[in-house]
Amino acid sequence: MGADEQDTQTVVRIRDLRVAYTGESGSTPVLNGVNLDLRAGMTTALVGASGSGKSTLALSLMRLLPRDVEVSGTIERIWLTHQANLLAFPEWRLRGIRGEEITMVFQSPGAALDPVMRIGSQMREAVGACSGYSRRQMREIIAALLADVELDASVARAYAHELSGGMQQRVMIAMAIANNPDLLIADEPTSALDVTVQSRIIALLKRLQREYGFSMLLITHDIAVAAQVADEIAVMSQGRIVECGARAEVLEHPQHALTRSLVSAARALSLEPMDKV
Amino acid sequence: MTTAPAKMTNNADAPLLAARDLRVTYSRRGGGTCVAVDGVTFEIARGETLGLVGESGCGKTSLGRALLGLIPVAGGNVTFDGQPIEQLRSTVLRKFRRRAQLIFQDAAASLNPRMRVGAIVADPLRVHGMARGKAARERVEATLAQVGLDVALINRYPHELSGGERQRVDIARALVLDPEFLVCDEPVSAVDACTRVALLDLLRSLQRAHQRSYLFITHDLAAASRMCDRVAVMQAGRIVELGATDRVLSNPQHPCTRQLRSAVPTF
Ligand SMILES: Nc1ncnc2c1ncn2[C@@H]1O[C@H](COP(=O)(O)OP(=O)(O)OP(=O)(O)O)[C@@H](O)[C@H]1O
Ligand SMILES: Nc1ncnc2c1ncn2[C@@H]1O[C@H](COP(=O)(O)OP(=O)(O)O)[C@@H](O)[C@H]1O
Ligand SMILES: [Mg+2]
Ligand SMILES: [Mg+2]
Repeated sequence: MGADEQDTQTVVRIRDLRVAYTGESGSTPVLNGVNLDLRAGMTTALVGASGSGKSTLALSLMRLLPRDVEVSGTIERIWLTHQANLLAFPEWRLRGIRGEEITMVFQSPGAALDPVMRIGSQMREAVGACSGYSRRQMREIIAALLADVELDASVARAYAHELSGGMQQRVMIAMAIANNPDLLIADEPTSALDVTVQSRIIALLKRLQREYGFSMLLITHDIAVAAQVADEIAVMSQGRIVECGARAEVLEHPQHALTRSLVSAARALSLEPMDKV
Repeated sequence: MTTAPAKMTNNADAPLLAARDLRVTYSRRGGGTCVAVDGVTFEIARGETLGLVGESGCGKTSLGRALLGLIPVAGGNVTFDGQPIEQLRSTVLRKFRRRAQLIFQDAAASLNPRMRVGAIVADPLRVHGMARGKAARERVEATLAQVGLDVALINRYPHELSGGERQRVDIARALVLDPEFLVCDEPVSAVDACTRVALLDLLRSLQRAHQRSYLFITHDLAAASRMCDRVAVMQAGRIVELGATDRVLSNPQHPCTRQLRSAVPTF
């Protein structure tokens, strides 16, 4: 890939995206005109206050919003050959996009995994029903994916409740990378993991990204993680992107008051590096 | 031995909670056992926060649940306010359930999906006969406000909340009874840095004002350093290091502690 001219190429362009949840308690506007570009092979970290709409944006990209919502705006998916508005796609055309082109790791692994299915069966579904692998090949693929996220192959026979939160999230990540996606959305992928596993998982995601070239939208509450891995940082407040730019620019010269308070709260909660204590 | 129901003592010098040689095991399918907690001994004083850190899967959640009698123990014992918790019966057990609460690691999985937020937070008040009607409602609203949630969320179901909002509903549910002992299992892992600072400060100030005791389970050493008087480091079901927070973080002795410490991301 000719990195120089290609790395600014936009693969997903979100314009004036508005989402409101319309439950019995009336309409709750959550996204109020989101504009955001995701670029090929790059990592965009999405940060912002709790409840600001980050997960809702992720679900909009996956077209996995609940039924009672009002949506307007466009999410343009730009392939090398053509381009299309995902929001206008019929359900049947979304299958391939959800499974293979855009995959997602959810905030709560405990709720995302099926409690009555063994991990191996769930991974088999993620690798793909139409893949045509033999049972033996499938077992090897699953073992390799589990090894990638530093889990023992025997985890394939376990049920979700038998794994700790950290192990569950590693299974989710293994399933998300199984199909070599174009865009991987990770919603708080490491907040349930201890710091050592967290840095290994982030390193793993970065390595896979280098090898396969997928774009990553990383939703995180951890500015230190964003500082480590993001090319760009987008800051969300009350359903709008209030600041977006190159990582160093946003961290060193935050423009918006929210960005400033997030950065200073994160600094207040960080420890001195080990070699300084 | 008397036949009268055991009374909770209130000896201010004795530790509020003590675990002796505690073991928790899970049976593996196809035979064999998984030892999640492997002979753990420690005490928590009144007004103290003990941190519990360690890699995921090392047994922190299992230990926290065993302390509250929520899962069976395979060996050893836990005493709360001088009473072995496995011997607590009827009214004393109910009192213990009121005095000791848990903030769950996975709030999404722990909140009843068919109950609205208001009912979830009011439920402990109802179960323990602490408050009803208007008084209960006011208590619920005040507790939600304390954790930074809009009172309008009262009529929502858990699936209609963001991850951080669910986590705060779970904190409110645990705080509404004003418990003396609180196991906080990764209580702020799903919120942004500003909310995290606010919640940690809230927990700390409640504790200082009322001499509460916490077991604060976290993989976030920075949060531990802000919250904890002492820290225990757990590895493969055992406590491998235990000491004053400043000492453990500035001069870690065990390789496991050093590894956790050096992996803290900085920026
Ligand atoms: N199904 C729903 N019905 C009504 N409101 C909802 C629903 N789902 C989410 N919301 C509301 O939409 C807002 C945004 O939620 P979202 O999950 O996108 O936030 P978030 O930025 O991911 O927050 P967090 O960092 O806490 O996970 C929140 O105020 C939440 O209460
Ligand atoms: N319900 C269960 N059944 C079987 N094994 C379990 C169960 N819960 C936890 N375990 C196992 O016990 C060990 C400790 O888990 P846990 O207490 O959740 O650790 P932590 O909270 O430190 O991540 C792990 O190996 C996990 O797989
Ligand atoms: Mg979210
Ligand atoms: Mg745990």
